[in-house]
Amino acid sequence: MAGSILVLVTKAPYGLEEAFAGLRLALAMGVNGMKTSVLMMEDGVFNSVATQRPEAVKMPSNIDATKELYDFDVPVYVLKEDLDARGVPESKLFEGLKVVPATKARELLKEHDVVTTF
Amino acid sequence: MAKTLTILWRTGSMMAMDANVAAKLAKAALDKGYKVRMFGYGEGVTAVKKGQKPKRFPNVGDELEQIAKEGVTQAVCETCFAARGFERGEEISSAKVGSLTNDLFKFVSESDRLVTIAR
Repeated sequence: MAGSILVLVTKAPYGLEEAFAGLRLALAMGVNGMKTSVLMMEDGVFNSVATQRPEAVKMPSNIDATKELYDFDVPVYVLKEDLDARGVPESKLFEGLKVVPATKARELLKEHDVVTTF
Repeated sequence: MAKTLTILWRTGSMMAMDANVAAKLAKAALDKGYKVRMFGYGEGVTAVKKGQKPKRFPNVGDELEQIAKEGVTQAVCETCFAARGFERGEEISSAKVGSLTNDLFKFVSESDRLVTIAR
């Protein structure tokens, strides 16, 4: 039986519902007390940028959706290599995120019972 | 003891065969002795719309109802369902209009494996 879940967010915010949907799924698991982690990777790292303006496209904020996870001790990781590849410096990220190398991503995959990708 | 599989699908009833593949996978797992739960999220909820009439493609609603008779439990996200203008009662009889917090959490926590089918 699964006691933990890793949610991979691989899509950029807005335009697609994927990232927001992944964050909401993580919240649903976290509020029930399941060990839940989120890893933003590939284009999903764009969800970590602090200067998002979702109001410009009348979309709910992925920053708010991410920060709601903090209330339930759901850690949100961002893959360093994918930030670097896209030219996003860590100084552009909003607070509370944990930037990790790919080696940590591999550990996260091992540490969780099930994984789902958005 | 039978292992349990949850299939999370997020693609709709038309334009892609993902929901049909999810139903096929569920049937295959069932035949191998798994307990199977399916959860439709995002566009995936459209696969449980009652009254689908595809002219040239397999009817995924019918497929889901058939495998439910064989023991597959199905639920979809209520928020996603309502967002697309569907109301309770518009779902096929085998699917529950439920929630991530209750139904999907229960499915996942009872499962040995989680498979995600999406684009």
